[in-house]
Amino acid sequence: MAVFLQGCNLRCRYCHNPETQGFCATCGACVPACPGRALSLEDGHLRFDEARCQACERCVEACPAWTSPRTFRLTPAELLERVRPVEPFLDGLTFSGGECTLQVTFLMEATRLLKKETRLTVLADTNGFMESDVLEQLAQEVDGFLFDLKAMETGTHLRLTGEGNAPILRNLTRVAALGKVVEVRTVVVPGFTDTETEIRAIAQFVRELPRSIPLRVTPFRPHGVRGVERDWPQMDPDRFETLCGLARETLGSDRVRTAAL
Amino acid sequence: MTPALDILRDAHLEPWQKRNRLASAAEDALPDLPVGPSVHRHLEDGILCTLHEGQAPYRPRYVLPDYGKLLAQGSSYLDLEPARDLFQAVNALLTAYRFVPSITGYPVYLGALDTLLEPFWAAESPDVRERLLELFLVQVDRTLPDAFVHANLGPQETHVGRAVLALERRLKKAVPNLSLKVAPETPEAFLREAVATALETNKPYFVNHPDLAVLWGEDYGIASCYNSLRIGGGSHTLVRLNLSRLARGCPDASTFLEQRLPEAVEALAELINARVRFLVEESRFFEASYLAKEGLISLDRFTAMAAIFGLHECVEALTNGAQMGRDSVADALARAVTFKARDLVKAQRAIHCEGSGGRFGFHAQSGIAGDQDASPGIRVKIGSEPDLFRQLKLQAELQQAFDAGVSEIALFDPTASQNLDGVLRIVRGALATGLRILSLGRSDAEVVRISGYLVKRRDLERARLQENLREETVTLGEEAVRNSRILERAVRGL
Repeated sequence: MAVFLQGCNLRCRYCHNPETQGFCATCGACVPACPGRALSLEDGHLRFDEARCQACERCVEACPAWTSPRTFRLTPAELLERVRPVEPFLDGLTFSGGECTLQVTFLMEATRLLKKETRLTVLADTNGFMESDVLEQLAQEVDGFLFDLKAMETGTHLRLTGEGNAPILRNLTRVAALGKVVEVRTVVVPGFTDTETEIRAIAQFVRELPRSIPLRVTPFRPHGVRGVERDWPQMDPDRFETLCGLARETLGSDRVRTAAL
Repeated sequence: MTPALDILRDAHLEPWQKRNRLASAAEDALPDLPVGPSVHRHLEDGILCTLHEGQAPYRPRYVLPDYGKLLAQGSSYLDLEPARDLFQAVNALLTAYRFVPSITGYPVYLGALDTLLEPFWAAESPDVRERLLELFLVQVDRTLPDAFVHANLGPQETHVGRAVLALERRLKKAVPNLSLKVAPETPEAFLREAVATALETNKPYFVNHPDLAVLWGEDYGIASCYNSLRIGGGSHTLVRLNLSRLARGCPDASTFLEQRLPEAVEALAELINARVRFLVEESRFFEASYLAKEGLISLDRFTAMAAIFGLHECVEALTNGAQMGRDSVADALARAVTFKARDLVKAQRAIHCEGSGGRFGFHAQSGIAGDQDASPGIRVKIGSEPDLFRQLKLQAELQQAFDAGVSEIALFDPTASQNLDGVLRIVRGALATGLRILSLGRSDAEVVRISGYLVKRRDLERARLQENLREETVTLGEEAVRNSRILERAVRGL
């Protein structure tokens, strides 16, 4: 089961769910866009009536704040109540988003509760762009992190995400030393990270991390992307295979995970 | 012209098809069995249905011979010695299969292949035994061309079991139908193989062995669509009750539960007993049958099945539109109807049913090709499905009512093949929640689960073009696809 938390502290240009980045500004732009009249503004709050929702996502398209009106609030106990009935069907739960570590208080409490009351593994997807001690605290509770490493070259990282990568590299190293990095993930983006230099550098960095951590390499896909990035080319399959081959050369085939295009 | 002459003049039929239809025509021309006016009324109103079994049954609907006994003792009628090696065992089984009666004319139960063949496996070289097993499966598909032909595996892991799963993945035929009994001790790696096969072929069924063993003991088999019956026994007949039709025009749930349903079940019981009486006492099947004489079946291991279907539409009608799986009021009524029907059925006296304690077996009937406004058994209507886990939980609760067979079908999108562990987790979870029998597969699998039986996807196309096929169940499948939106079943992501 995946639980997607709203809000992100990066602005990756290739994000395929950009509506998870922002927070509602209660501007009401989404209200008239809904064909089922599931949205309304009342007392300065946005109200979402799930029963009327047709999941057409016109509200998401209309939103200027990079969020989705179809979000809702949950306490850790309420999350547990949703998880319990389906626990037999699950091996684990992954917190994702957005950047789930932005809601660290909820995340800590929810993880503690799930670990206490269920037999599920709890993982967290993170971009690692966070205060170190927050991640280390979280590392005490979750079973592991799926850690994004978007680019090694500082300039490339800045252009791609809006921020530099120094804190990310520091955090990845620290959390890896705690034995809590399950997988490092990178997306190969045409015009940014689809170079031999980048892929070798990423693979090399993962190689030098403590504990033998696998690297998952994913090709860029325009699906879900917003803005001019929608017109970016999809990764060429042969180019992608070549770059994956380079990653395997550096890291070893058993530590590189990819899906065929 | 008489029906017989029309059949003989049909240029689309092979001679063996003409012969079968002639037999059916003769059966249909027989007078009704002696039953009361309530039974006639329920039959005319389409509430009770005998599934074209024929006016007067002369062989049990489902027969599950004890093939283990056959291999051990041989057969005088079949002129077979006890099997001493894999060749003889395979030969004996293939011979016996041609002499097992049923409603379809083909054997609906092929035995637990792993239990039967594993003792002979080690003595042959790997090349020989693999080839022999493959040809066995190929011959079953070619000479028993009927999707209700059903083999079993499990719950233990065996070489034969693994080999069958791998072969089925490669052969991708609709025949045989296949079930894997699953127990907590069934090894994960073996179950994973079964999941891999299921994703490609929608078989095997995953069967809740602990639950069914409590009901029947260890010696039960899964036969035909998904009937759970005693080995060495079977079911004399099956008559089904259309809950959707029964609810038509019914003013409220209370009238349905307290009046209509009890009346219908009484009529159902009377009709079943009349048919059983004819089979056992007038056609005297058990006196004549070599299977009974040689101890491969015995009357005291038989049951007769009372079945329901159309629950979704029944609940929809009685609640003015509430949907099972989505509306809690519908779920509550579904439970009430299912368990009330079960209790009513089990309160009836059933003749010649010592195999089920003198009571009828209770079954969720998976529909026939012509059904249009009644979902199979107790399933959620296609097009109205909720999220998978919610659906499985509801079905698990309702499935607990049925001892003689019930099943649920789940389809996954093609990415499921990259996440076998996820699918495996769902299988374990579903069975742990109380589901009794589960079919699963990919939405693009070459072999498609219609409602209880399988059909090859490309055969559906050939049937649409009116090609006359050896495997006649394809025709049923094609009709069912047209009538019941089979190909629109919800596809789940993982």
